[in-house]
Amino acid sequence: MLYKQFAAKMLFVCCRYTTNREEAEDILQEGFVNIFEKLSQFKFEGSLEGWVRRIMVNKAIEHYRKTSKIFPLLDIEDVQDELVDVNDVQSNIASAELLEMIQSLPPMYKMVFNLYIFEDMNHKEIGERLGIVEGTSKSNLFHARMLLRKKLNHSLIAAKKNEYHERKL
Amino acid sequence: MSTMSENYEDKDIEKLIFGGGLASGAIEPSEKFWNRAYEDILQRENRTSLNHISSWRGAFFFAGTIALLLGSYVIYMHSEVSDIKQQLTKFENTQVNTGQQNANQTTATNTTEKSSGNTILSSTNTATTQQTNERKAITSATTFTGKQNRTTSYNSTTSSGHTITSSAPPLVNLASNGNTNQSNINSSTANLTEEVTDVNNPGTQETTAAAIVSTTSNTPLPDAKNPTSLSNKVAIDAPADRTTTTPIANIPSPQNKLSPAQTNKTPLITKKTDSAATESILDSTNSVYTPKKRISFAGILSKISVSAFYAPGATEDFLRDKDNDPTNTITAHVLKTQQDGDGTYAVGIRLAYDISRKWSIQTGAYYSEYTYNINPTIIYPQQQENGQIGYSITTSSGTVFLPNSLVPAKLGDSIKVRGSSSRGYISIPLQAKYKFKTGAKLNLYADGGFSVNIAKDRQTTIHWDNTALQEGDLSVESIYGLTTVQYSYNFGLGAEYLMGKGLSIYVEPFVDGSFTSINKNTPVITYPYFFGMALGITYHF
Repeated sequence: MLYKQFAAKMLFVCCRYTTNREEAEDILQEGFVNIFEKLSQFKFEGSLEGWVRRIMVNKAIEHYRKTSKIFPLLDIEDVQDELVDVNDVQSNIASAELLEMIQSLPPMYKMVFNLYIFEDMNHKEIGERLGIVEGTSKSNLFHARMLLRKKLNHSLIAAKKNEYHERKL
Repeated sequence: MSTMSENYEDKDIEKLIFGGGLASGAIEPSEKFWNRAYEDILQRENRTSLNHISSWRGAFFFAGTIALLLGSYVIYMHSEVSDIKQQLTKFENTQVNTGQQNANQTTATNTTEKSSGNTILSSTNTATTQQTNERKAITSATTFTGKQNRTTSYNSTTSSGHTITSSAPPLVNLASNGNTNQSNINSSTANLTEEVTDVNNPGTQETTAAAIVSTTSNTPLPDAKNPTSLSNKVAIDAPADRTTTTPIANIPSPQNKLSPAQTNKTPLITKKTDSAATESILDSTNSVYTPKKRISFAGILSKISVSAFYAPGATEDFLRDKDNDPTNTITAHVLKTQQDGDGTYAVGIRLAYDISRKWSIQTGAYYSEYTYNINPTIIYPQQQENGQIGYSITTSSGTVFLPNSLVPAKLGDSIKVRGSSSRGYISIPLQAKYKFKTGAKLNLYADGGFSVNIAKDRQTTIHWDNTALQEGDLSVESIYGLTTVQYSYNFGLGAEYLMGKGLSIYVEPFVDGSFTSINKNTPVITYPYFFGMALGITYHF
């Protein structure tokens, strides 16, 4: 029942923290193992989905810490502070494409970005969870945003070019 | 129109961008995932079944042990009861034979002494005969000119209302002189003083008897001026308490009969004339009198025993997540997989004080050491409380921080560690011990109580290596989170074999369990249990 109820939603969550689907399914599998072991500890004080989600995120962090051996280096010289129209993003870019953009971020940026944006953690909490200092978390978030903005702009430009060509035709 | 550049630090922009699609999306897992999930469910069910089997196996083992102990105890008791029955039968047979002998001899004596004109009082083991004899002795107004023989038996109550109490030997020659009769009692084992009181006429019928008991040896008569030579007493009391504890009487052989001169030496001891001496006699000779308890060093020492023991055993940690926070990366489950118990032992001394035949209190001191193996585990550096980046190992005892100087740490790196961790305690127990079976050679007992455990030694030894082919060994003598004082309860069942000369050896399986955790401020709370088999030697002072 738990599998059927939450597998699809949680796989989507896991995908945000990984680079591909297989890796996300591994995390999902480990997360469900953890859920079954800790199910007796769930006290129905919050939503079950929130509790399951926290476990999945926790597993994703654990997975990241096990697999990420190299501290990510960033070359941000080519990243520019480009303008992005929110309405354009929502109308022209599919969620799958957005997910791919996040997945393509360097592991550390991806982790910080996800925890900060989707899990509502502050930099202090992120630092504690990932074993980094607060300043590093802020820096990683900044760089993640820059990279995403660039990717979004490129995607928008490509989308508009396609639209232009379609009209011309 | 809003742009990210206008609100650069506002995370709501990202939420606005991704909220619709990424916050609540769903992706159907692949077939491969579902297959794995199905396998996982099957494995879990199998594991649950195995756990059930393991639990039942443990329960059966425990029940079997209890049944074995009970069975041994029942067999032992059965053999003891059989022995007692045999002894009782033998005793009864002896008693019957003796009674028949007495009856025959009494008849003969009556015939002889009646013919000589004396009043002879005789009694046999039977209450009727004794009652008759006593009544004759008490109510007789005849002056004795000859001997008067009377025998008494154990725990006999006469219907005339007399109680005769004595641990003294068999034959009593009672010389009666009107209402006051005095006899000297002498036996091979003890002298006897007897008071005879007539219930029908208590004011006048008070008799102190110092009868000479005939034996094969000619033991001297007790001296009235030396009352301590009298060690036994026969008393005839009020009607409500009429018992006789005098052993089975023996009719004297002719050569041991008193001569008339000896018989006429009465009274040797008179209560009225020497009441103080008589009271002293009563105090020191009354068999039903309870001696005054005197506290002496030797008396206390005789109740003390000291033991030395060694107890190998096994330990098991009951682990519990401190706050049930599922986001904790270190959990009880993780710890269980990362470590397993190694050999454990306890060694110490125990002092016991017997407060009764069955009950004792025990204390002492012992040292115990708990050791765990740390299975190969990959750990990652974290920011420590001092702001530095470093490695740490979480064990069931607490957190072990590895110094940066010995294990260089940087973010993103990892090391693999393995080794062992131990913690030692000095414990002071306070226990009650109950001997539920005491025998000539074997005692079976149960004991239980509480212990105060003081953490003494703590050491973690590890070997580490990393992907850069660096490796090393180090030992850390501090465990963060381990409490200094911890309390536990314990109980055990033991068998003690008495070897003689105050020495005994014992074997005692026992359990020592914590009722307070051994650590605090750690993600996992630990309650250790120690299952040991104490082997010890005891010296009884």
